[in-house]
Amino acid sequence: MTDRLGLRQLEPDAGGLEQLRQRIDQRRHRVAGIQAATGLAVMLGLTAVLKLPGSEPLPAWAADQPALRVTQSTPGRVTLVNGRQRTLARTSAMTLVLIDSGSRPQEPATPPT
Amino acid sequence: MIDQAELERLFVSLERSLFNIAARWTWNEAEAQELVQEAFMRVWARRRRLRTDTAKSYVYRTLINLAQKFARRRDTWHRVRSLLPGAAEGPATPDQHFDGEQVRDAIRDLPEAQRTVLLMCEYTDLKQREIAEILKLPPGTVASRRNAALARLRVELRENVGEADRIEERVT
Repeated sequence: MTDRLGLRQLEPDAGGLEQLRQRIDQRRHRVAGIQAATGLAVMLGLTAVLKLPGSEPLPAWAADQPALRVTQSTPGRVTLVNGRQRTLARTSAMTLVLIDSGSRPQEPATPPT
Repeated sequence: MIDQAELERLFVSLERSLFNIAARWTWNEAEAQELVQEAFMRVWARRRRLRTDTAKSYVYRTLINLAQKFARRRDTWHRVRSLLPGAAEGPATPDQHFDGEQVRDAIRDLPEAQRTVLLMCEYTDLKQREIAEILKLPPGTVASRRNAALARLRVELRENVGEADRIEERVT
């Protein structure tokens, strides 16, 4: 069967809905992973920063963690020059990093090669 | 706020339409399916700020943005690849089984703005007024771009008179 432009009408593969459900589940698991990692970092007294894009609302579980610092920016693009940072968990919309603030010598910012 | 059940209902009602639009940007069915999935995941990511009545517009707009970006990236890659020595692996190439090759090429050569409007008009059941809202255009511009796209297709296909006549019959 062709459409009005003379091209064949296409049928998507069956299973698209199931694939979408799986992706939603995966996203839930990743967010749950960040939430768990945040709780652990705060419990251990580590300095954790949650990086969110400017358009992403602050999750309720993050708002409940007063010790958690939050930056609204593009994940992966923030450079903290006053300490080392290590990415602990990441989704497409948020990144949780740990900051080592002060206990180690400050690393000079190096331009990307 | 939309919940998962609403999202799934939206998916079931729009999947075919979105897939056909995406396929006319990617010319590759697997990539088109991926774009549709990604568009819905973006709706899911913004679900707290979307309502049922705005989600439909949002998913159409998102799919078109994704498809346009995909096409631009692929065009860039093809230009770069043509400069490289030897054959290099790259992004997905058009499926070989797409029929209507001349129509395909003519659609692919349309300016992005005309192509977007034409595909929205042909592969959705939306009224021109609704398309105008989604694309943030005056309704008259939707009509004029669609007409311009069809006129351009006719010119592009003028050497293949039969093909052009068939399109004219179907669309007008």
